[in-house]
Amino acid sequence: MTGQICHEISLMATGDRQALQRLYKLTSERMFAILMRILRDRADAEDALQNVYIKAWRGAPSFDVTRNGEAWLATIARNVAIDSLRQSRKRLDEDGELDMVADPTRSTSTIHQIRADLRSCLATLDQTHATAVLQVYMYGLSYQDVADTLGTPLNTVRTWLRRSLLKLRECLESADDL
Amino acid sequence: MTSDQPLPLAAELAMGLLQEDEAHKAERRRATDPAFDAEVWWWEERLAGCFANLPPQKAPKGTYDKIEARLFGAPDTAKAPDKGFGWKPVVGGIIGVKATLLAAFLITRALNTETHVYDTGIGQMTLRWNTQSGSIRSQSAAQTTLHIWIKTPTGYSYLGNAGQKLSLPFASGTVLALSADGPLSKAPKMLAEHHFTRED
Repeated sequence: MTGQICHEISLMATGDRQALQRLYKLTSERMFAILMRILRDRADAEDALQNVYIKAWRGAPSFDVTRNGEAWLATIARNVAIDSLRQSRKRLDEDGELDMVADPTRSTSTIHQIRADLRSCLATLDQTHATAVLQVYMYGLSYQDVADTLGTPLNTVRTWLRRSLLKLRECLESADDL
Repeated sequence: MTSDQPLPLAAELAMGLLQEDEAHKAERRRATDPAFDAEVWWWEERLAGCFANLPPQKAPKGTYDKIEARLFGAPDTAKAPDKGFGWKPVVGGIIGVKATLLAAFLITRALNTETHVYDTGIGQMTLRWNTQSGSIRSQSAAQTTLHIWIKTPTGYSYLGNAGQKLSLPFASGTVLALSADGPLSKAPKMLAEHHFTRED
C-alpha cells in the first residue's frame, strides 16, 4: 500500500491526473477520518479534504519517494485541519469537548488509534506530559492554550513540552534502532 | 541527550509550536537545507502515527469532483481532444508583472509536434507540444528553475518543473503560465502565459 501511494504521488508529479484519482481512492477514507477526528464537523472536514488533495497535487513534485507517502499525506491532512481550526477560531472547549481534549490518553478509543511504537514511548512520559504533547499535535493547541486548559503556568507547560519531546525522541530513536 | 538541551527547531515546526513568521522562515529553510528538512520529516513521520489506527470514514460523495474542478476547471474542459481535430497554440498576452520578459517564437512545426521558444528574461525555455496526445515537454536554459502552472478560475495550479514531461491533455481555453516561483508559492509571479485554442 505504502509503495503504491508513493508511486501514485510520483506520477502526480509528472501531471498524471489519473494518479491523483487513484491516490484519492486509496487514501481518502483514512484522510477523512483524520480530518473528522480533529475538526469534528462533516462540512468542515469535507472542505479540508479538498484542500488536502489540492496541496498533495501541488506538493507532489517536491515529494521524496523514499519517504512514507501515507505519513506525508497524513501530515498534510493534520496541518490543513489545524489551519482550519485556527482560522475559524473554533475551540473544542466551546463544543463541550474539554474533558476529552484535556486528557486524550484517558480515552480508550484514542490511545488505541496511535501507532504502537509512539504509544509505548508516550507511555514512558508522565501522563500529564503525554497529554500536553497530544493536545499540541492533535488539536493545534499553543503553549498558552495548554496552560489555560490545564490551569498550569505557561513556563511550566513550556518546560513539560520541551522535556517530553526530548524524551520522546530518545525513545523513538531507540525504537528505530531495534 | 538531556532535558537541558534546547528543543530542536525541527520538532517545534512539526508540532506547530512556532509563531507564524518563525514557521514561514523555518519552512523556507526546509527548501534549502536537506539536513533540516530530514529532521523535520523525522518528527512528522513519527507524529503522524497518532492517527495510524483511526477507523476509515467514507468521504462525502462528489468530493473528488470538487477537487478536480478546483485544480483543473470544469470537467468537460479537461477532456482530451477528439481525434481528427487540429490544435494550435496561440501565444497570449503577457501578464503585467514584467512586461518585457516574454517573447515566444514558433520555431518548428513538424508532424504532430510544434516547438516554441520563450524568452523569459532570465533565460530561454523551449516547449515541445505533441498535438496528438496533448502532452508537452519543456527544456529550460534559464538561470533558475522555471515552473509551469495551469490557470484555473481561482488562480494557478502547479504542474511541474520545466524539464518534466507533462501528459495533461490540453484543451481549448487552457492557459499555461511560467514562473520562477516554486510549487509552495501561494502567489507566484508569472513571467509568461501560453494559450491553447482549437483550430477552426
